[in-house]
Amino acid sequence: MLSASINSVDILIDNQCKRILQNISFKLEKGNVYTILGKNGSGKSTLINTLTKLLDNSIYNIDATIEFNGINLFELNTAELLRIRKEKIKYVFQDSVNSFDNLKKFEYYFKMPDASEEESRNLFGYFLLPKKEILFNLYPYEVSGGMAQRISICLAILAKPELLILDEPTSAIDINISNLLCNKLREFVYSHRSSVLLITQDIDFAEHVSDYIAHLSNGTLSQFIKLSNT
Amino acid sequence: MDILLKVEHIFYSPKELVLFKKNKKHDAIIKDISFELNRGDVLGIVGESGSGKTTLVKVICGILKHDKGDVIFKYRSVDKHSHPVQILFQNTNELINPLRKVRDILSESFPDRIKLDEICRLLDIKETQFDKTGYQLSGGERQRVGLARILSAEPELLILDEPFSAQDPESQEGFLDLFNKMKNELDITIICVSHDVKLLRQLADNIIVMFGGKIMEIGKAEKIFNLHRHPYTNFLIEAFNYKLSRTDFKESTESLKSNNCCPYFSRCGVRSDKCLEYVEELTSGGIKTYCNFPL
Repeated sequence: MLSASINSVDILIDNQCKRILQNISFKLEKGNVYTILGKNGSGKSTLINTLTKLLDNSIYNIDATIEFNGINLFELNTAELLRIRKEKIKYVFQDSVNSFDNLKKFEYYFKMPDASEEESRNLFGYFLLPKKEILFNLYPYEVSGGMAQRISICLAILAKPELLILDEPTSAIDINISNLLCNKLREFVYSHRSSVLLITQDIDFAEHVSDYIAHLSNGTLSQFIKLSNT
Repeated sequence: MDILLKVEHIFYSPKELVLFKKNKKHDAIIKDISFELNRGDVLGIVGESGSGKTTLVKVICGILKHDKGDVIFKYRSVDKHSHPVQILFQNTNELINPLRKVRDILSESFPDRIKLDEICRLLDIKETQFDKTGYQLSGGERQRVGLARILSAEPELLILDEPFSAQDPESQEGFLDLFNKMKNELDITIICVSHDVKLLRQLADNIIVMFGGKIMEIGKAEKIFNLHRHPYTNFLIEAFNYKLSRTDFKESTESLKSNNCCPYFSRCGVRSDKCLEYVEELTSGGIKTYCNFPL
């Protein structure tokens, strides 16, 4: 499904080039949950943002080839890349509240042809969110960080992407909701034959949700190791 | 037992200032909380978001004024210069001035070089950090410098509000070691608020489990972990072992307006109508459990 070959990712700071990532290669297959563990500042977010060219070219130098279903994402034009991000590869960012426009109610974000009314309601109920009639009338600034994170996750799952990428998905939610998320992600990859790639520091969550785990350290990624308990 | 702090039947409701009208009162966030804290102990307060943990510690240290009940400290000495209660807040970005150098911040708090060296050794603040400004430090480094400033006031009670959040596991272990070191080397009493009961187990002598502004269970840390009897404590510990499924989250439309009812009623799997009217206090094996149907 996705094949990544990252020779280097450098950032320009104070007219100096600093290497963040180097010599990384991995493949993601359908129907699996992949987790990348790493300390704060190890480059995890930079890595996942590299995959669909989300990094600012004026600040970052990227030497990479990312193939998704045989297509080199780095050779696509802007419109083609936007279509991939809209339909095939979905992100859930760590700072969920600021992922939304504070001037738009949540109703604006849930206009999607792939999700039925029943699916939406079931998912909101599963994640203990308010009923649709209440939720759709709320603005992003009216909800907590944890609720915003759950709403982002619902949005991403309802779009039924082939690859779901999550950045620290448990950072703002309580441990009981982490349990629900763990179960839902595993159900998602199984029922849709999709894949999940998540980055986290939460080792307990990683151990329970993942099929494969790798470590990012000093800008390099270890091999993905299959967990035996899944 | 040398008691430092007694909290007796405190209630707190937030007040909304409405112009030209009486303050509008909201439902109580803290309901009838009582406990004692011995000098030198570490008390952990655990519960999910919204349980009232941070509000409780803000009431204890006087940032918020409780409506009813008493917060009684038995300090060793109090004069106009002493600050016997200090609190280390969760948001590391607000702990120290981002534009000031660490050297200036610390020398202002510790004019005596020997004491400064001692505190830097204790908190593992390296001299290489002295020339950095606040914004150049990592979250963990800011936390240590903030802690140094707080300790310069020689508090008798130190309150830590979610000190482990947003840290990687290695940093969490580092801070656990640090707090245990402080517990052993300094004459200090600690209250540590966290949503992570596993981490608190490694630090606290006693643990309070909170939900909906009330105490569900209180006792020795190891006993709370292994011999708990409240359904909510069990739910929390099962959550940390990733044993929960959606069916474990019960729902109810019952309105929980009374301060006498169990706030966990809506989600409890062993509830009955009597839980809406009163809650029994049971003591067994050194644990106090507030539940009509303990496990």
